[in-house]
Amino acid sequence: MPDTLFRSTNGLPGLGALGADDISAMSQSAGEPGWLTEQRLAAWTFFAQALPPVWRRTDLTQLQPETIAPLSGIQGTSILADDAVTRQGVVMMPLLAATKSHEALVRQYLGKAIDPMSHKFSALRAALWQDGMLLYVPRGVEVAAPLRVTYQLADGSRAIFPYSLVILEAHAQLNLIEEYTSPDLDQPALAGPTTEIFVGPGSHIRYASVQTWGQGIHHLGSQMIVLDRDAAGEWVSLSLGGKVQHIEAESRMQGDGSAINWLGATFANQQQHLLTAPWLRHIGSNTNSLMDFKTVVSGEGYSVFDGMIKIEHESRATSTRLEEHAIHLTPKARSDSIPGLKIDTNDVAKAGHASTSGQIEDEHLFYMQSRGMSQEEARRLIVMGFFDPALQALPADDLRERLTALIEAKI
Amino acid sequence: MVAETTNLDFDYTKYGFRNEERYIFKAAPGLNEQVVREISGMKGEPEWMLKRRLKALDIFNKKPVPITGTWANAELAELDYDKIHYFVRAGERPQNDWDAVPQEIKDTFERLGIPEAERKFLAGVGAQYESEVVYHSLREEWTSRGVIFLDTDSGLREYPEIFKEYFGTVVPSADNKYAALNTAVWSGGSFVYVPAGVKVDIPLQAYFRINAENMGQFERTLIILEEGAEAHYIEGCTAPIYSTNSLHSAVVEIIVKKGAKFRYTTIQNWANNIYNLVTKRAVAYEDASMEWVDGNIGSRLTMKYPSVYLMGRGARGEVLSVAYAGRGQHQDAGAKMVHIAPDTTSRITNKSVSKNGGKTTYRGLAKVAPGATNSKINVNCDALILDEHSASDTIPYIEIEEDRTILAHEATVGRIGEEQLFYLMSRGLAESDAMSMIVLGFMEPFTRELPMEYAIELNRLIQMEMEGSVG
Repeated sequence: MPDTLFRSTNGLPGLGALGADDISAMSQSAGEPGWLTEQRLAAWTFFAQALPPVWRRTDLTQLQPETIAPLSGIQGTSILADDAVTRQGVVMMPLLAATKSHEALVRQYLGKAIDPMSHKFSALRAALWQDGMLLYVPRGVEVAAPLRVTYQLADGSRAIFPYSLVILEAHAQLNLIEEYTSPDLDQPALAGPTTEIFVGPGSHIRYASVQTWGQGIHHLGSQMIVLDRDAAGEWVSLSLGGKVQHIEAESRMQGDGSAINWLGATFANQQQHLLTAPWLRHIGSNTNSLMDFKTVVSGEGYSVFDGMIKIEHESRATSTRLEEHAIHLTPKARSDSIPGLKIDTNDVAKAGHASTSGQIEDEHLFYMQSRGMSQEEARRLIVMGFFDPALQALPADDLRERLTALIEAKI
Repeated sequence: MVAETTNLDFDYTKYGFRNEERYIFKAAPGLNEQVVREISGMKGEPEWMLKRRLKALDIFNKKPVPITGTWANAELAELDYDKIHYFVRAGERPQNDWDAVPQEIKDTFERLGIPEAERKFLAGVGAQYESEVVYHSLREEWTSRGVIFLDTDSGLREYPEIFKEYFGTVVPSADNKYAALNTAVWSGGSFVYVPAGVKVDIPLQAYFRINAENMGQFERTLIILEEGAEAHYIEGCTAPIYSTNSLHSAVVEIIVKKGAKFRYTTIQNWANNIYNLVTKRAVAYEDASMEWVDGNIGSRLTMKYPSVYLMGRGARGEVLSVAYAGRGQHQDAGAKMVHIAPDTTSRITNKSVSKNGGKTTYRGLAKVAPGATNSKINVNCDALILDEHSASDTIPYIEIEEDRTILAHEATVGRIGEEQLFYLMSRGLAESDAMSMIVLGFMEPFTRELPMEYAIELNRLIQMEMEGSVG
């Protein structure tokens, strides 16, 4: 089992001083194909010209982008694959190298789900990504054991833009864990991850996305799963670390009969501001989706759930349900929920959402205390029970144990 | 007078008729300081009101048209402010004597059934034809108990102290672009004052009506309930159909003091070319109760989110609303509940129906501010989409800054079930009748809160909207 940490970097100027020439020099000296250099330059031009998006609920005032210097080369991509899997034809390698060894494949899919020109930060990610992974599963290949990719901030680094490109051909199966992690920093740093996952006809993916950055990290990321005909996904999203998080995530049910089951767990404490904007987008007919997001806030933590069920006009017989529940542990904690519905057809089998917010009910605490538990124990048990569906959905025991410990420490 | 059956047996075309324009004063189209000074001067207003208007005009000019953002709508870009008349006066002073009301205006009201309604059980009628109230009556009994029910212009003239104390305190000019516009050019509306402990047991009623091409109507309503007072105010609107865009931008401010109870009922049925951009807000103090019952059937675009700010311990707020959007219509309506004091409760119930390419949007805010402990909020939104050309959005904003809170929000969107239709049709109903019946049943939690006459009128309107639109 090779667990390879790829690292080789050079410093670039801060974002304030960085120019198109630096981007093109970086790309050319790495021997990247011309189309990629052009893509990076176009994205950089967009970034330099675009106004920042209006994000009312994401505070970026502490981030001073002009002082943040990105790196050229890979700073912290750790890929854990299985030799047996490689023998089945699965490709799992750093994305930079894959742009040469699997150029046609990368070119076909890169940026096809998440438009680099969506806004200023998506363009920045597209211009500057170095860390990254290509994961390709050929037709009919089933990978049961979880494959893992971990992105880490290098010592002294204040910016990382990891890019995961995942492609499943027809009738394939994949189990993937993607993690973001770093030590606590005493100054702000910028993480801009992009994850694009293409799930072919009849294929099945289990995908766990785990954010456990250290203090100081501002995570401005985007993730999308595109599901082809009869494809299915089980997605679990955990947001625990960092200073500020703004994740735009989407399950796009493109093909008829596709389905997603999406669990989420967010815990914001101290002064964390964690925002997740998960979208269920129904395009194909007879598509099914289920979303269940749990949020806990304590200290002066602030969480935002900005979710959406979008049913496109051409979709028929959609069935969808979105649930979002927030628990407040302390008076100063704050949570916002915006569970939206945008329905452009009347051919809907079922569409609805539910949202609740509140503290742990006194009765529950009282009941558990009457059984001899301390108040702290009772709270811990209730919070762990609240997050249990998401934790149980994690495909690796060691990860579940580590995250359980992390959550308990936050309580 | 209108025959006894009018309310049950009217035909929709009477809402589409139009009278010849005959006005005593009509401000030049377009909006500038001169227009604002003219309006204020015509009314002989005190200096402070003119200053308030001019300041609001400045705010209106500086604020961008809200086409992107949280409480914005891209369709607002279609409005041409220079083509709107900001003031029209029909007749001289508000009348208390029916005989003195011009025949043309009477005809309009008779076809709307106002005298009929009055004869039956109404206490006060303030009917707005154009920008000012022209007919007004109030039962003597209430006047003697100190209840004031006047058009807003008269309110300012006759009760300047009360007026100055409350005007603009609930909806400040800078609240939004259209509140600023209203403050700059407001005219007409209702002024209601209910003294402490007085319970008004029959609804106060006012009809509004737009009847001039390119004319904006900017009524301003100010309602104050002193401690322990109770009242119910009903506002209904209809408008004839014109080919160019018209703007209706009202501001309604309500103060419900300790232990008082108030309900505000609206049936909005503007013509399908009217932009209806309204700011309605109430503040409810200790143990007070405020209810908005809000029906939106007409207009090209409505943007309206009746709000309750729960300022005192134990205050209660409720919004019960329905929206129906047909061809070319967008009903962008909802509610806002802002919990500021502890032990406050609120409930939002919204039902919407879209058909023939219409769109309904529910937008709401449920906010619990720090310190509003033991707040309880319940939100329910249900949308029916009747055909494949129509659409529905639900965008609830929930902001909780206090841990001791219980919030529950639930929404569903769906179509009429084939089984329901099949069942009704197997009982001999035509498909259109079956659909009508289902839609009326869907809206029933709303209609049952209306006075019977209004419920019948609303049901008739919905049935007419539904007719001939199947298949």
